Amino acid sequence: MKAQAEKQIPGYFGDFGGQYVPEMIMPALQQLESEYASARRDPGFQEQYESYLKEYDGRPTPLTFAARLTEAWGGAKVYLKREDLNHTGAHKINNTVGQILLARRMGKVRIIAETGAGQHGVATATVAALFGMECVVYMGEEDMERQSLNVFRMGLLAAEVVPVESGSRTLKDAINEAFRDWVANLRNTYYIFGSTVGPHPYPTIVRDFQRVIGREAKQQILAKEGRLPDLCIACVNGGSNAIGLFHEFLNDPEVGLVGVEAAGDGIDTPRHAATLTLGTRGVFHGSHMYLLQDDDGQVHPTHSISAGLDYPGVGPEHCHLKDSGRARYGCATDREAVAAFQELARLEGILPALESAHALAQAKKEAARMGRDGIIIVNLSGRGDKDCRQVSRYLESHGQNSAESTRGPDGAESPGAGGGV
Amino acid sequence: MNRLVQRMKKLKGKGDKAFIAYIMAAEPSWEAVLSIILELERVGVSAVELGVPFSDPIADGPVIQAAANRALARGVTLNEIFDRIGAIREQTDLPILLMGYWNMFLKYGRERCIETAHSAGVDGFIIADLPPEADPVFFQLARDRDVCTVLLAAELTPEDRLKRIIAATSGFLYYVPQAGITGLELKAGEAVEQRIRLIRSLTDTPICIGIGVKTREDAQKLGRYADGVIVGTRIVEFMHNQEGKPDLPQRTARFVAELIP
Repeated sequence: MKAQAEKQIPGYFGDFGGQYVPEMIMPALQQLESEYASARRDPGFQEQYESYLKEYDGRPTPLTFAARLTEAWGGAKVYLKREDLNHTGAHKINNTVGQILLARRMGKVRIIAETGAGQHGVATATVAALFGMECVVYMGEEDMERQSLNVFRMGLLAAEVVPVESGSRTLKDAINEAFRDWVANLRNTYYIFGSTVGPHPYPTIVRDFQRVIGREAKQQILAKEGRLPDLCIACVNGGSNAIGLFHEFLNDPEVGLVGVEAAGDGIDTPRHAATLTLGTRGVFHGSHMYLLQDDDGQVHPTHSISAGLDYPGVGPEHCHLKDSGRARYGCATDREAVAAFQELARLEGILPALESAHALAQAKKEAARMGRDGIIIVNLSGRGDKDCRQVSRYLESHGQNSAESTRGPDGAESPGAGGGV
Repeated sequence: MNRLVQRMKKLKGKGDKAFIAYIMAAEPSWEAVLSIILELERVGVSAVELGVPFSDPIADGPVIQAAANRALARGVTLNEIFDRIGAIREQTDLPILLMGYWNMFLKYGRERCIETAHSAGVDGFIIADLPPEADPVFFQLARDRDVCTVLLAAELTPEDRLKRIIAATSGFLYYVPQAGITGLELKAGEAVEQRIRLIRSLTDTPICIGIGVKTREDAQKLGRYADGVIVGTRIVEFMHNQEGKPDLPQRTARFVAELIP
């Protein structure tokens, strides 16, 4: 198509992606695209970005060998890419540091963002505070209740958190509201998108700022093992931590790539967020993607114990990787994720974010199928302090306390409805 | 000839301005909507935009989103909307446009959508999140069946992009005079006039201004340089406030009549 050929950065990943937005937003996307294209070529910009990653964010993050976990699972060696050790406790800040530098380059003075679990909101509020910029974060009311600690953190960081009462009162509705704000304030406002979804060029920008995860992991595994891993595993919702890890390995065919979505109560129930597993093609939030929707094209409400995996769409690049067969996608239930959360705490002394616990649940199945000479890298995208209340409630409502739970029904072979891949 | 194109032509010939009213499908009921359309025609509305309710209407403000949610709760489908318009066509030739979001039409099927629209008597589509380059096949199918595709142009749309929009729009061009979504306050002035003059130098297609038009004074002012105005939020809000009144169609028509300059 002519319009695509004119683009400075490709706007599609195979059939997926594009710019399906109201015309009022289009000038802002075009400005963003051309500014980003020039920043990408500018060594000064890249240097500045890397310097903030090092000096402020605390990168590189370690690649930790999980010895006791490996032993317990009885299969492949498991390494954890420790994105939980980033400043603010998740991979999200890799992206917000990059985008706020872009916002400054564009002369914007006001920052807006959406947030689901609150991690992206915190990471945005953090860099806005760092640069002294006004910051407004849209967050679904239900998510605010689930993640009250992060709401408090954003307040401390001088961001205004706006509760979103419309729709399902979760991430998708927060994105709707952020778009509305942006349309009304295009001239002075930069919208820091948190994941690899949304209209072009966001899926590319966010991916590029998350690629540091895979670049580091590749060097680290080569230094430790002298070879590439057999599998990279990461949780997927919008998909930014997963694409950040995967991208560096796309041209290494011997490395398998596995994304893990939230199966919620199980994919045989209506309460899940397994978009790549059960979704159909559609257009949502500006992009052509797989989508959980009904026969009339209305977007489905989703469910996951993890607020950060509770989005009915998925990044267009993941849709393409699924269709091309380069990556495969599975899902883990709430139950499996909570069990993995507990297991990592007990065996490695690390509380993973519930999002990342989905990747661990999948890794457990994969490791057991592989020989002891196999190598898996799991992206530990964030830390789980924010999820303690949620996990404690889950355990209570399922008649467990955290001390006995790993011996309970969640412990060993979980029959959960989260499909294999 | 397409009813909308014909109506716009006729208005221009007489030196009159178009007044286009937006209401939500099936809200508060199909019976009310159908008689409101007839009443609106009676008080001089030039065309009706019927909102197709969508779960995630990013270009709409809270008033229209709430109306969409009420309609969705009633289980409205696109197929039903086509059926109802097909039925009302026996009683009126008022141009009727569907305004909605691309995913619903895409899910329905491009070809099926245009064919059904054509046979039901839908005169055009306004798809808030479908820019002209996003789906050339849909625009071509619509052209082949003489169904209008009304595109939006915004305050900050650059001139090269305006040309692309103008090439794909039919019926009229929907001009949004300010950054914002439905339901915002209008700031009309010299800037709007200049933009309209620029667009006029590029096309003969009629230009209607929407988003932010709330009063008769707004409509009057904008009518001086545009070919018409579109009012949505005010009407949807009024209808919701009057819900349950047995003479809602007549009340709505009287309310709208007051807005027409």
